[in-house]
Amino acid sequence: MNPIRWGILTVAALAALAFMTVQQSAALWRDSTQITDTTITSGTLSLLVGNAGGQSKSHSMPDFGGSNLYPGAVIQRPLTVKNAGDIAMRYRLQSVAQAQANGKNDVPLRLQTWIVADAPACPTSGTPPGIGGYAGALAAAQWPPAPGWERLAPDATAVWCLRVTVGASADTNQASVITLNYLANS
Amino acid sequence: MNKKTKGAIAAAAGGVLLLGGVGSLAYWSSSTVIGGEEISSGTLKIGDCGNGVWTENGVVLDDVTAFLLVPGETLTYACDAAITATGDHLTGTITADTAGITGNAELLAAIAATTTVTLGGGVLAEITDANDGDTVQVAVELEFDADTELEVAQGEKIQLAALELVLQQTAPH
Repeated sequence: MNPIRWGILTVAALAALAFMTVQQSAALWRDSTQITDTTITSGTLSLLVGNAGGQSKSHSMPDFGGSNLYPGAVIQRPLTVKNAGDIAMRYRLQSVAQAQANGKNDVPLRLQTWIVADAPACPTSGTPPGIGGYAGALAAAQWPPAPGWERLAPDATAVWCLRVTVGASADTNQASVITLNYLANS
Repeated sequence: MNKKTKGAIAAAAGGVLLLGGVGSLAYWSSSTVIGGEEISSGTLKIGDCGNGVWTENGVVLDDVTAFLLVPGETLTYACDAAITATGDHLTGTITADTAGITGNAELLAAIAATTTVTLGGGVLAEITDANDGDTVQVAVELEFDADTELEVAQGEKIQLAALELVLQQTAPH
């Protein structure tokens, strides 16, 4: 027999031996028992925003703005936040983004928030009867401050009263678009 | 000599060789009994563990199917199992086998199982012959990965009918 054939036979023998070793180690005793026959379900987390009539994941508030505003001018509107999931939800106003509009300079703005009983409790002016929240520069807004959270039970809603005040340093012919980002957690 | 004659001679030679081989079995031989004792195999069994209790963060869940699991939470199934283990050098381990669990893929991927076996309050890492007849406490934890982000694995289900508790012998020392 030539060396090549001997080599093939040797490799084959080693392979067979290795296979038998693996088979043997897997053949140790094993017993098992079923421990439960049930189903586990994960919850659903869903935060929606809008008005009293309806909420969605993204909501536009065209009335939360104005034109020809002046330093000290106030815009105040309610925003409904809803837990549309089936588990208790923690959430906060995570951040507010301010962008230039129409190529004009940003308007210096101040934000104040309250949580009120319902939308009528957030008039277009005047301090609303509710629990005060954030008060400060709009661009730095976050409420409650991390790691704090507001809480909402499934299907519950909270009404935020949002007030924006034009800063005293506002110049003429300025415009901004603001975006409020709410973050929810389980 | 023709081919038939050559073939007959070759067959005869083969017969002689075969006879020679048979003859080699007839050499002297002798034997003696070396045993006389019985050899017995051991046993390894785990009893029913279906009488368990589900808890979440220490709170008993009367109906685990109604519980809605969220990332970071851990469901624990605790039960008692009788052990039969005989064998002078027998060792084994108990683990939950989740391979057969079915359900929604995202939730399946986000669930990790760990098994803890205790006896008399102490952790029992290995089953041995000394545990024959013991009833051990088994806790199977199903942890929902806390790093599950965005809206992954929400509103999904997994069926645990194929979740087994396995008592597996480990290789003899």
